[in-house]
Amino acid sequence: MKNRLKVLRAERDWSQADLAGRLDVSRQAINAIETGKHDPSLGLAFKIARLFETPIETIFLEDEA
Amino acid sequence: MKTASTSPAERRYALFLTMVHLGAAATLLLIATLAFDLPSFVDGLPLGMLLVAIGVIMVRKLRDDYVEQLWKAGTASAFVAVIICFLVAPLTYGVLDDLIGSGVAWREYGIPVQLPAAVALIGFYAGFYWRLLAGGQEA
Repeated sequence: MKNRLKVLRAERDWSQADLAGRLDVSRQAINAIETGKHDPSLGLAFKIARLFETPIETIFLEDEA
Repeated sequence: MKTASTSPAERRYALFLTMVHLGAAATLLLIATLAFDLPSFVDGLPLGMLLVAIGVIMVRKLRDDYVEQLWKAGTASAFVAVIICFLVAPLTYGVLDDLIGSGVAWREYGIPVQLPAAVALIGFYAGFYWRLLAGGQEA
């Protein structure tokens, strides 16, 4: 699954550690999500959407078949 | 210079990973005690280390979303390792023994009691580290 997390984070000038702190996850978790190595749980995806005040589907994009 | 991580999530991640490394080291020591005739005081050392390491990594509060994924990779791998070693391998041996006829039953090999635990632990750490390194994170 692709995502726009890095773009949204950069727009706010947050580091991975800043974002991790706001979401109460490790920096490694943010790194893994941004690089597409880890798909977040639904709970974390909602938390991310709430933090960026944007719908989930505009952050996480389904891979085209 | 690398600054010290201070957020609670970072501390939990660091503690979890430290305990995983401790458990992996203890597992290697456990295998060494099974393979070699080491002094008796060494036998208890890996078990003590494993008790501490596994006790800590079982605490679910230490796992964030990403660590949970590593945990699942480890447990799935441990399950497969146990199935292969204690179901598939004896079954295959039994079939082959029937064909070749060595006359030695699987149970007569005297499998050490620590072996199932060692296989499960090796499977867990193999799956965990594979996922960790495949994710490009520092171990």
